[in-house]
Amino acid sequence: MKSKIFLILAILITSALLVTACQPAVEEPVVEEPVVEEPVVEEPDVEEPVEEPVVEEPEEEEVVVEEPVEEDEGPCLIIGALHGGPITDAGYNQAMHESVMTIKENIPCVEIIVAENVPEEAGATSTMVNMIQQGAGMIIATAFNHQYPAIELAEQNPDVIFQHAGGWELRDNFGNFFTEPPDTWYMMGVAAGLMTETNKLGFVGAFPLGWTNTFINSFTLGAQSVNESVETIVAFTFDWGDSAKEADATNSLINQGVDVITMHVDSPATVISTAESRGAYSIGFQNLAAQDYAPEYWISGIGHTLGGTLTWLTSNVIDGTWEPIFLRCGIGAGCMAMAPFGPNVPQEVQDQVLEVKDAIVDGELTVFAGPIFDQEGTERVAEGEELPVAMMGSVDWYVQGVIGSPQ
Amino acid sequence: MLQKNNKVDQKNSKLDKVLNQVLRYVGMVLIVLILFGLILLISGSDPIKSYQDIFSYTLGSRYGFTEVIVSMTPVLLTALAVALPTRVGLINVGGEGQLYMGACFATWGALTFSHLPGWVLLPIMILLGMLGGAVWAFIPGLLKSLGLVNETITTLLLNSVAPMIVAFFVYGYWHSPMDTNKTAMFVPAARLPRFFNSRIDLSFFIALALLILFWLLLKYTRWGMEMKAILGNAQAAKRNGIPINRYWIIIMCAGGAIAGLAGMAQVSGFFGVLMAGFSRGVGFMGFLISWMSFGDPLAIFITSFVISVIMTGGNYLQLTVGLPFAVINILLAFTLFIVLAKPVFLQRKVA
Repeated sequence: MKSKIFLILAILITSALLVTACQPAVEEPVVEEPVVEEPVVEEPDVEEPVEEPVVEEPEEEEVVVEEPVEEDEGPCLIIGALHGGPITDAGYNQAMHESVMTIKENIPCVEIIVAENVPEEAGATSTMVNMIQQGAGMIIATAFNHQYPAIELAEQNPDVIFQHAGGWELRDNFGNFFTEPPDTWYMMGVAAGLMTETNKLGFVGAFPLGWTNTFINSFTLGAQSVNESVETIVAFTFDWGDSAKEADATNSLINQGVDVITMHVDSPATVISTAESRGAYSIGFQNLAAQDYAPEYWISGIGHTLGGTLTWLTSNVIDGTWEPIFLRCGIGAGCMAMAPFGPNVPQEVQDQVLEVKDAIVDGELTVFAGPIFDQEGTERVAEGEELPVAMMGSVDWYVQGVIGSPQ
Repeated sequence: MLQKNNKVDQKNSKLDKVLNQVLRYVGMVLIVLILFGLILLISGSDPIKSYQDIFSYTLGSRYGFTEVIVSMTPVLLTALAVALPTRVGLINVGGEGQLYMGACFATWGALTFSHLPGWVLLPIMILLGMLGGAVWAFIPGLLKSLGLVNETITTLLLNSVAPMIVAFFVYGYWHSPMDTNKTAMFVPAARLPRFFNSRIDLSFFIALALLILFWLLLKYTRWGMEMKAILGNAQAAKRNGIPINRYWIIIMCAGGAIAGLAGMAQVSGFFGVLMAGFSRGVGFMGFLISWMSFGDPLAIFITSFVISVIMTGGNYLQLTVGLPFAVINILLAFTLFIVLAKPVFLQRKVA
């Protein structure tokens, strides 16, 4: 009978599967020490991480050459990198992925394990545990909501170094890093203020987070510095990656007369391509690759380029000088970069924006210098003072000229 | 009469049925593995190594196995939340929404009574979670019994409302000072106890108990009989004096309560925090599992186990052979497709 044959076949194959399943003894983690006790003389100045000119190439050869400590062939460090979204999103996740992969280019002996679309909070725990079981000595978690599960594991795995993007917590083996986008938003604001004809700028945000509000304020201040009558209309999608809502928000902004659009969502692709199809200018954020979506109406954009910083951190882990630090670095240190201008941006505009960029890089320009008033006219930053960085993450007000609710 | 005949039939063909069932499942799994193996080959990875990785991780390592159980727990509950209403002919597509409402109510409890000790707080949260799910299922149940709207449509539509209600509370009132899209972490008393030095928590045992209860209810109680009658022919059952409207509402609410419990278990056991949009389709997965196993308790258990093995092992493949996440979704989609398509040559002959 046919079913009998199937039964036998089935039993055979299941047992085969079970046998293959049980054979390899891979379950137990090969707990691999990141070679901590290496007294390499090269000493990067750890105390001033923010201004660190992070592209220190010479370390790489050194690491490769003198690494054969116990194993001959194995990687000098296994890095587990986990991202909250797809690493091909032309946005935040791709920028972070590319930054992580730069480590491999600079320090060829590392091995990198990548996981994308990792769920948030407790959903990320098993991915990190698996990475550690595969011998990862360093975990780079780039999603905001991976912070707490990473800390929990950091406490259980004192030998593993954790680096989290954008958080604020610090532990003995848990540090964080991120870029400093607010200044670069000012620069983009200048470009937008010069390019707009309707004097209406659009900003598509995911959530009214403190940082997003800071970006909006900085963008608007930049635009107002060159064009007094400009205003920014804000629309939130309440999702980091809902393309349908992003397209809707972009369209409704354009319908309100906006002719320059920018965004703070995971992937700028939808907003930019929607703006392009409607003939509105766009300014990118997160990833420099975003310009591919707007061949014609692209103004410029800013992206995270943390490869150098991560390389520096990794080399510290390898030579044992790693310390948990609250690391933030800006465009001056190469942690962010500006995309090329689009074909429709006049030379005068380009020059003016680059001037502002130079001023920012040289530290001559303070974006949030008082007096700054919010939408209701309340003074938020007094004359002669400036908004401290520590406050930027919890800004719940908009400067005058922003249309929208910051909560 | 009808039931008696069924019983005799069942006894005669019981062994055959079980054999056939096992056969069908194994056959399906095989087809899936072969198809997915082809995809793996095309994408340039070694299928044998990949399968070895999946099975040695999920079935051969302690941590992997406990993770399978962890990811199995919520779908077990949401599958049950669908299976129960199908026994009176109701199609509950709303597991996802009921899960969110359960999580929402339970979180309110966790945040409001955070000063209470665990043995008081947890039962409160469980009850609140079940209440939340039940409330969300009461609406479709009531509309159905009034003869107004089909429950398939109402439950499905309410799915998209519930996450928004959760988002409204999280963004508006409950979020912690540093985040906008999630609450503060729950106090330890509001977390379900964990076992075996793993992430398996109490909700797994609750789910098992409910599954057994479900089976007992169907098999040995008058209610089970009456439900069978309603399923067979609602009009006839009504004429025989079975209060079908009451059954519809109560069973629907019970289903919702189970899904709500799954939501409570997710926030209290798994996450320890309520995030807007926390469920990655757990409710829908439960629906599929319930239909794949035709509402049979044992089959629900096995199917959710298999699905969890695929999900957990699939995620693991990302790390070992560097497969992109999307490929793992293909594997899952294959499984669902094959099982729902019920390949003809694997079908048992119906007398």
